[in-house]
Amino acid sequence: MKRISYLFIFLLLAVLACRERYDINLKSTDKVALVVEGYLNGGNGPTSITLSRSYALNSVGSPLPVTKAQVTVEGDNGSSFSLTEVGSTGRYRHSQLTLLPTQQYRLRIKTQDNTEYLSEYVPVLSSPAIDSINWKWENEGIMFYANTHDATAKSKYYRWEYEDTWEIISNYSSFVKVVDTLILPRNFPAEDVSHCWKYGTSSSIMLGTTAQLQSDVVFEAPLYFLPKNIEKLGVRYSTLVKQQVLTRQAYEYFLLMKKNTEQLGSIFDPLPSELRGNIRCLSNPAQQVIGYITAGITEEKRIFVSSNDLPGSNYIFPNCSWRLVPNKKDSLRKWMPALMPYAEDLDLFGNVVGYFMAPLVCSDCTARGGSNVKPSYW
Amino acid sequence: MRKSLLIFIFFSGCSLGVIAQETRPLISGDFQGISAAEMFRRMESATGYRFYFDVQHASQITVNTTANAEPLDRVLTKALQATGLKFSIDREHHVFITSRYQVITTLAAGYYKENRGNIMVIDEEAVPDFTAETKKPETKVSEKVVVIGEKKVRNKPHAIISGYVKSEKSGEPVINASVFIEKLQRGTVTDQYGHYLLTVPTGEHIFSIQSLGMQDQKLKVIIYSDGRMDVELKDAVATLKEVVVSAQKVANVTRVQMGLEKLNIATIKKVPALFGEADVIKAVLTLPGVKSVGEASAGFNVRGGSTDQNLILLNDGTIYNPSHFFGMFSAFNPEIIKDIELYKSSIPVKFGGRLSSVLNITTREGNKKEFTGLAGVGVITSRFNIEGPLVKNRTSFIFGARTTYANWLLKLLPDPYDRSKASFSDLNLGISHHINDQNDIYASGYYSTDQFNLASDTTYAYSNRSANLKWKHSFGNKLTGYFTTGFDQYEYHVTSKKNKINAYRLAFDVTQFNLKADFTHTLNARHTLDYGLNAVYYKLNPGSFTPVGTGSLVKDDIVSREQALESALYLGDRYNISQQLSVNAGIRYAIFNYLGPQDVNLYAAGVPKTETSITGTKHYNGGVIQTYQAPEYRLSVRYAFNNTFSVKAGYNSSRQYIHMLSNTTSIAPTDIWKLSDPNIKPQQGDQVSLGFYKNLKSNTIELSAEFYYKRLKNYLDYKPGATLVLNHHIETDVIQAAGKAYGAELMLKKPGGKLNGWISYTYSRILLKMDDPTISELINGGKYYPANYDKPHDVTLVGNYKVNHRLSFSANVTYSTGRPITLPIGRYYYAGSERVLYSDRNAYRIPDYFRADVAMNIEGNHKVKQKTHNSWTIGLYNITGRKNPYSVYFVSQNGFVRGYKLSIFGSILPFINYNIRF
Repeated sequence: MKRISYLFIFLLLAVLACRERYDINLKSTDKVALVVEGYLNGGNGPTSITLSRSYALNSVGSPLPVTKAQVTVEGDNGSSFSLTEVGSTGRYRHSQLTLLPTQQYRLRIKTQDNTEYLSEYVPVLSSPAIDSINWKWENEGIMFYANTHDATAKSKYYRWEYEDTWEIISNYSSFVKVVDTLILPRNFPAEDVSHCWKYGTSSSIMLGTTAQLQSDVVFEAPLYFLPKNIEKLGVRYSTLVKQQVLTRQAYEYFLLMKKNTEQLGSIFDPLPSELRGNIRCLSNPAQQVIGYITAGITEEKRIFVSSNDLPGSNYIFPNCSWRLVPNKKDSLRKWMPALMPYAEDLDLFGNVVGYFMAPLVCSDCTARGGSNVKPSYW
Repeated sequence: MRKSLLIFIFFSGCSLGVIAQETRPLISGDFQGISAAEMFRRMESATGYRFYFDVQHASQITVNTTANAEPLDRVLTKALQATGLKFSIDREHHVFITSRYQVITTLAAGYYKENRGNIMVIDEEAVPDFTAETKKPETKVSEKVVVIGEKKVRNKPHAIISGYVKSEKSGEPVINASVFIEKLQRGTVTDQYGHYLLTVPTGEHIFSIQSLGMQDQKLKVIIYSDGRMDVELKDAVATLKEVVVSAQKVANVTRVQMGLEKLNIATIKKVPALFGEADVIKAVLTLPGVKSVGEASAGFNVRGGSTDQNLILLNDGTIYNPSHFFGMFSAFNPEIIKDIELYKSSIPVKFGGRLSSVLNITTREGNKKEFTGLAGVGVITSRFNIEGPLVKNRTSFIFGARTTYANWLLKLLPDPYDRSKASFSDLNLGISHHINDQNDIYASGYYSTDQFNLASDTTYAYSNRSANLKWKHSFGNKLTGYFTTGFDQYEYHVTSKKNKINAYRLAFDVTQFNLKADFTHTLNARHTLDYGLNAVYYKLNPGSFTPVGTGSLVKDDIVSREQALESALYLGDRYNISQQLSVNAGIRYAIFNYLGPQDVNLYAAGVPKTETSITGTKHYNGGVIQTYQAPEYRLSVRYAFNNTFSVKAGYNSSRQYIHMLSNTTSIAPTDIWKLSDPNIKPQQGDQVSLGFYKNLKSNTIELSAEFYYKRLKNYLDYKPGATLVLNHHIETDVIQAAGKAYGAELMLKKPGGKLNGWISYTYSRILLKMDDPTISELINGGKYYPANYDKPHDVTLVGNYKVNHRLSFSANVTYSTGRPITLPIGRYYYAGSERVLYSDRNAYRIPDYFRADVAMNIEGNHKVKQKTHNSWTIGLYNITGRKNPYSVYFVSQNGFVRGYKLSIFGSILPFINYNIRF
């Protein structure tokens, strides 16, 4: 019987684990779509719209920004706001829109080549407050959940995004820095690189609906998952969850985008299908435009998770063995820049006879992409 | 002592006489060094006596005698003295040549106890049991002589012969046995009750009765008038020598039916299957023209039809979901299945309601003579079945059960899969009761259930149920009626309780009540009519979403029930115009009534059906809301150029009123069915086909080539992002597309012999097009695009090599073009991640599919008398370990697009199966 059971496990693993990377050379297409992403912020704060183009599947690099376009927000009462481009990034910004909840607004885009795009009118929807964001330890990691409710039962369709921040601590405290060829002591606290904070944003589409419920109550809508033993959960983690209310059409659009791009790979996959948002090209209706313009007032909530609260997370930045190198030009030159000095080795008389050296990322948290400026909310 | 091993003699009245008193004709001649057969022929022409002998056997025996005006009997005695052949002569001047034992042409005294009408059986005391000593029962024509009808009534050129073919061992009817007269190129097959009916010219004929897995019988029959002939066949397993019969395996050439594939369970079991579970559907997939999207897919596609266009019948019950375990196994217990028939092109007129095919699965009848059973253990399932007589020779039952025991094994998997659960089981029960020669009653029941969750808190469960009762009544020899009533049900539900606020139960069910009256009427030698009336009443719950537990805030969302009545009247004629030309022509008139109570959405005319174009809702309290009706035509013609070559052509049209809604690649457990209503028109299809059939090497090799072209109308396809479950206006999310399918199927088959099997090549295309001008966003711009299961090239080899009676090897090799998929044409950046951009539907294909499986079957010893028989099946699935892609997909992960290939079985899978028969 034992043999049979092993056999079965083997079979089941074969079923579950048969997924492998697959890269095929697909013909690049000349069908380039305009991608419009953004949200007309009816609350306090700026509004920004990002315009880019779709790009070939096997090309490397980042999306091509659409620069020098004219981007205008129009109200159905005749009001109009022009957005200005931030540098040549394809990002168009307005510092503060004044959107009336009784009005509907749309977005007009005129690209450099005089092609005009226009969105449908969208209502300004205010989100109810987030009741709480909670997390649970499950499947060897943590899962975040959103809780909210709308007593007027009008919201029904929700989308969440987050901006997260996490603290990192260098494996070794750095007391010296290298400036050109000189090794100089660091000035504390300004040049302290043992503590840093890193920032991220959501990269998946998080949606929830209460349309099937008797009342507009979101209870533990799953947001996202972080596996244990990653840098984010190494010291202390914080997430600022933003909640936005959508129209049903917008919800369905984002749901389809999520299904098409995030949720494939099971046996019973739905077939991927084309996306049609609420923006049209006026001169050429066949031109594909990706994106769904929404408007409203968001709500947000921040929570913190300390690694001490987690039952089984133990992250250590890897590959950080140190080496003591004699304070000789040749020796130092031999090891740098693979290893960088972070502390002096002194003899009894206070002479620097050597340096403790390790890869820069082990002693300088800014080299790990962090900022050593503590955020205000920390 | 087995009665069934007796020689049957059927004759008219009591015309047996005594031989001694007769004077025999005188023979003169030189019979030196010639074969006995040659001598008999010469004597036949010289005397006018009819000789009955085994040609093959007699040709090998040499005689050495001369005769000079000596009586026939004396010459024969002399000539056959040293040959071991015996002879006897009856009053009718028939000479019976037998080996070893002499046919006694008179009855033992007082033998009228077994007199059944005009049939008489020679008592066992009169004729010694052949098998007791010979241990080598062989089929010899001359040893079986049957006389049918009354000699006095020889006024008609034709006679109707009917009867039953039964298994000698169990008394079960033998289904699909061919009853065939080679010389006339005329024959028929037995129906599912083992009954056959054949019109033949009066006179002498050699009947060949054959069935796979059975020993062939050849009977010399003398027909005077209408009569009855029952035949008992022996199981082929009992023979220790290969029975190779070739001359008569001509059914594929001679039958008028086109595109018909038959497999019996012995063949199905030889096809190596996943985990060693003999699988009906997977065996069907090896046939030309049948495809599926991948390994874990429940359904199959026949000649470009979608999975819901197959009518799957299990003993007359419609099975909506034919699969277990995510589609990896089919829901039919192989141990109680007798055989399957798949109609791909000319669908018999008695079937209707589906466009592509009919898969007719027949289970065995219980053993009417003794109790037998089987228990089996496999990697995934164990099974048990038992059968036996309730009343000996009259009433029998068969019961089969299968279940999995995978749950505790799943618990051994690493987290999080250890919380997975999967189980399935199925039960079959069949009871048959023989009232008298005119009346039989059959009851059958089926239940299958599946339940699973894979590392989640959502439980999926589905179940098929079917029960029916059938009464078969013979109105004399020429007319047989079948009256069937029953119900079939399919239901699924999904429950999730993890989140107490959102805890829900989603449920769907469809029930159909059937009433059928089918008649087979043999008018004369040329015409056989099939006519009847079918009615199906559907009750369908399209979806209900309800809270579970007290804390759940889920509000009831129930899509209103649907009901409909589908009735059909049909008439078909099997018409033999000449020996060469035969026609099956039929018409089926189907009426579909969509019934109230119902709320029907009304849409503005001329614009696409969307939620915004709903102009109102009309409420119907009851009665007929919408009626669709149309005739369906079935025609097939066969022209046989000779015994081994024929050409057939056919035209077939049909309509489908119930549709499965699915926008997933394969049948998902959450797919729902929908009835045609005022907003969703019935699907329509018609097909023309042409086929060429040639048998080679004394009919041991069958070659066939079939070509078809098919049109589809109102095929259901889906708008991008369609919602199918709990949709109160489903018509806004579907598009009725047009389609065309065409292809060629070539097959080379060797049905018998030590090495047997088939190789087939299929070329087929299925293209769909959305051409509704009112729809603004047509898929692929309104141009033709391939359906998901469009796999143009397919080569399949199924082979079996019998080393001896206890050991055989089988192999299954299949190659096919990869199925079409929608692949991205570009990337874009949105919501913090790179994402893929899709364009034209199904413009690319996944890599080609190739798989080879092997299996070894070991039977225990074949002693008839032992208490139990064991058998083992050991094999390897996917022997090359090829990672056949099931799908290729692109997902955004951590901000980047990654391409993946998903294989269901990416390695060699060994399997072992043990069966014990008692």
